[in-house]
Amino acid sequence: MNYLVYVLSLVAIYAILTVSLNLVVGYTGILSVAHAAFMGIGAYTAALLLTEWGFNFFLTLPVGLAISGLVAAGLAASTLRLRGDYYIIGSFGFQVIMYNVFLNWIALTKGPFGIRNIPRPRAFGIAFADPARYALLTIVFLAATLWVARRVAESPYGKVLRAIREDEAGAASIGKNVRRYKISIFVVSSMLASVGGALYAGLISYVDPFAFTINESIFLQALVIVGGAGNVYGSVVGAAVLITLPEMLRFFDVPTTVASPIREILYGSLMILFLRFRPKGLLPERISPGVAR
Amino acid sequence: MGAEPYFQVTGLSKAFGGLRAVDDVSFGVTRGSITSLIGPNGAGKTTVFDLISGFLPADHGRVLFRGHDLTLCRPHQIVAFGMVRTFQHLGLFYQLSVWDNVFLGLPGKRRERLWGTFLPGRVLRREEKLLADRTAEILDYLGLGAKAGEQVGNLAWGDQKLVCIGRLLATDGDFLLLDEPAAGLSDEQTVEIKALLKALVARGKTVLIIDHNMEAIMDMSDWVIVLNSGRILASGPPAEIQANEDVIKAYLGV
Repeated sequence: MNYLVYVLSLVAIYAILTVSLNLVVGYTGILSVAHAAFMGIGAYTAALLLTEWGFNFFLTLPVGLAISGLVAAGLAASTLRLRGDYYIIGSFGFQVIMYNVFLNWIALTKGPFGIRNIPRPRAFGIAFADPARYALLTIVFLAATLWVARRVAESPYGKVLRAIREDEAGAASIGKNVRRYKISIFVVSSMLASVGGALYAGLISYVDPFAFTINESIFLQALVIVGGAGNVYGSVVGAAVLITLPEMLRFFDVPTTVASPIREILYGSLMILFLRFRPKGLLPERISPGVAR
Repeated sequence: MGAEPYFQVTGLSKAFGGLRAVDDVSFGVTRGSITSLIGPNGAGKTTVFDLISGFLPADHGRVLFRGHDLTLCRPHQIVAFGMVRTFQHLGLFYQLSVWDNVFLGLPGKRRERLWGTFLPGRVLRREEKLLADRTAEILDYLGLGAKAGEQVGNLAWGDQKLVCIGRLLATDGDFLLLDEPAAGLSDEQTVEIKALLKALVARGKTVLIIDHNMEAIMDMSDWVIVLNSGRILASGPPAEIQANEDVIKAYLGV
């Protein structure tokens, strides 16, 4: 039972990460492979403030949001000038830099040893140490993320994002400040990722740099693609499917040394199969017919 | 005529490596007129458009529009001054509906800003009604009302060009820069587009058109500028241009 609740929390956390990445990848058409870096910023901020400074978990969140937002704004302002493939390389560079910061800034992050014994959150007399309560907490945060994402994506603002994805020059030609839109959505997406990262740190109660590598960023990309780029609910479905599927391996008595590579192969093959046979994902983007008349 | 120019380009130049795509081009446009920029392929017409609409930085020269210096402005700032352009490739939002393509052009949406997306619905009801009415009005004016819900990528070329004009009108700009509005259209559709442009001028718009087909736009232009190899070869009223020997030579490729 505890195990199922644990998987449920993991699904909710990955859904938060996927929905937030989808805003950038699916709606705006910017392929970013730095999402795990922002997840890491959130996770490390929460872990350090909880263990070193005795912060309340819920007070670490605004700090994580602020740091990831500022870093994202700086990164976006300097790299989103790059177009298409060049931007992917730019975000890849940032991802590698952040991984090295987590790994080598030993005085702060304890490097490869990671940060252990991260306490579970508590607030208003409620302790979220109990797995079921923690799962509920992650679901509440997922609901909040979905609310924000829908609000942003299903508004005229979100329409401009799609317009930029379809034709950047076309959007500029009707007066849209393309750069401002790209930077702002990147900041929102990265801030939401930091919340996912903080919840992840709270769930695993341990963070090390190896959880925030380029592989993780590409895995999140796969979740967006399988779920459906440009559909926020697709991202929830994508996370649910790709997180639970490999967990099934546990029921088949597969040794962990084998299970881990099988998982990687599974993710890789699914991503290729989807791109080939169902590029719009499990829940494709819906085309709004505009206002009914 | 005369007085302060509505739109004035002075000494505009742009080189790509060794190629002088636009070379010391100066011209003006009178308010409420249809001016045509014509010339053979590769004459630099589209580059002139890209320079004056802020999509390419000019090497030299100034662009003045209603007293604003647009030389260093970015495209969206230029649109805010009331000058809008189309592209030869249209640059529509193909996966979005006809409605959304036109709706996107409308200025003044609070929910188009990030903070605005969190405003409660009732605050915006009036604004959204106005925006919806305006979108519907433009679609009806262009005869696209029945196709509002269709995905633009699925429309025929002629309809896509209309959507492009709809999106342009939605911006409420009064100086329209049209890059080959009649290209790829049937004779019948070309006549319709011409009538539409004349109607727009009658409603207070000013139009600058690019075309490489002289015949197509001569009869509707008030003023014609001929560009060849990045330089202005001639400019004047259509009748004068049609009789100009240099122009005839350039078109025959001598």
